[in-house]
Amino acid sequence: MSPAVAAGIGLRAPHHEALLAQRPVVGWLEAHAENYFPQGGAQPAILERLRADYPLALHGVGLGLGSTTPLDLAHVARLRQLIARFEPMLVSEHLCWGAVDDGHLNDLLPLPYTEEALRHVVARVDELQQRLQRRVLVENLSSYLQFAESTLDEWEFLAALAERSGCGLLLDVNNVYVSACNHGFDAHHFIASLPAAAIGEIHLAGHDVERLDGREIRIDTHAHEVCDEVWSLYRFALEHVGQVPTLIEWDTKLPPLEVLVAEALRADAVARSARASVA
Amino acid sequence: MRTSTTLSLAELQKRFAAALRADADAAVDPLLLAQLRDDGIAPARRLALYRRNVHGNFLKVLALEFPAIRRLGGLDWFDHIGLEFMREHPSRSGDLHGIGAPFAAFLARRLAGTAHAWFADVAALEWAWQECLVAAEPQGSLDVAALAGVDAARAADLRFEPHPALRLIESRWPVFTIWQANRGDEGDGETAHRDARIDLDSGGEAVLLRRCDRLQAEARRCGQPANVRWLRVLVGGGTLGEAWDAATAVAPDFDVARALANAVSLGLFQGFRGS
Repeated sequence: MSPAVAAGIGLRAPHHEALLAQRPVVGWLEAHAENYFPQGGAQPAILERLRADYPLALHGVGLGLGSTTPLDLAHVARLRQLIARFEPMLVSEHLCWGAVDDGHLNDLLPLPYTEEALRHVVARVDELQQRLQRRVLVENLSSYLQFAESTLDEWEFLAALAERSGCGLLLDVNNVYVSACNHGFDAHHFIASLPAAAIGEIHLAGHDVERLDGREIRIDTHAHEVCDEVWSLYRFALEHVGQVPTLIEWDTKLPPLEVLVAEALRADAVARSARASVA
Repeated sequence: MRTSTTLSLAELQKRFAAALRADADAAVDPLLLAQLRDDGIAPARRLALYRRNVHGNFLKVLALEFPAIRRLGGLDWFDHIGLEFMREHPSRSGDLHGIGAPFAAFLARRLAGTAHAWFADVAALEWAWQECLVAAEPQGSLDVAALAGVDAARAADLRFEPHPALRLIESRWPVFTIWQANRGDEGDGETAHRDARIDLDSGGEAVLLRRCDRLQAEARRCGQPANVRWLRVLVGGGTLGEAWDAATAVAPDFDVARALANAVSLGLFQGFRGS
């Protein structure tokens, strides 16, 4: 059994200086690929310095695997260049769409879970993996609505996508929890229904709670610490999946670097306790 | 099983996108609403969450790219004009960082003939700064010894290859002074209209933007009109002789050797070639 994989943290530009100065003991860093698309200047230069000290994952937020517009080959080419330059251990994207013929919306928008959508996403993931010459992980979303025409559950869709395209899955435990609360399904059943062997990475983050029409709705803001329910679900996920690289994400109201490092240490502690109970 | 109101994936996305770009108080496409599960929270309110995200993501990036315009126009005005801009110039990429490219031209059209027509030039400067920060690294560095060894008789035929990050912005308004006073990014609204102290009729300014190294970039006012003309010709691909002519037309005693030495020491060129 390999030693514990220490949790990583999401790399955000406001933390660049602190990371370079402090070099905290975190397991790895994950960069949003698009933030490092520029060919020159400080962003890629800093990533190069950090890459010398940390394993890296590249996480795409803008490709829109479920969009019905043609796959943006310029975007894929930039991603391929980044992969060649920074040699990431993992490359991931989202199960979402984000563009139409007259432009991009630059958000992670939900798909209807239908056979039509599944065939479409399988073909796109297949094309992406061929063009990148590597396996990608596809992440489950937080969502705030469901489509009436969906004939598959989200976990069925993800499992079928992994099976048919050969992609891996990035299990965002916070997203499972947020969507489970918003749509009233069982988060444990979602996780237990995914093919464990396909899951190559786990994301953890915090979210917000709002009220709409007198009902609670959870919004995936990445603006807080991971909540207790998500920590508990993370432990359940580890028992199902085994040990995979885990990442702490924080995007809005970004706190000092130390807060993210503390969350990563907490993820390590949960992973140790899950291992002990399995053993 | 498809019902008569079921849409293809492409049609669903097209209608969904239109609803997200629309104004918050616009009526939502009933055929789109019919596609959404109604389970205690009105589908239109669920859609509104996505609209808020889409508008917010766009405005957040635009605000980061144009902090001075945001401060000068005020936060409410900026959000309003930003959404108008988004509808006219939707993002063309999954990478939001490029959205600001047409903003200065948009403002020039939108504010033409108003007291704020000069916003367009400030926006052009802010976008040039963004481009300067992320431009590709130079392919090589100018061979100073080779340049010094060029036969004086052939010097007028030389052409220079600008550093990819070099930008030269000229305006009939004091854009550098305005930008410096308003570019702080802690825009909380209280400091809006800080330009009140700057006399718009105090004369035009030219600004030179360059990268000092991979990590640092610099903006400086280009004080001498002859120097600006000289550099403009060289950046545009003209010869050193043509640049010299342009400069001496406004300053007969223009010192081309000194101007060239200064430009080379600032790393403005990545190479040169003969005629």
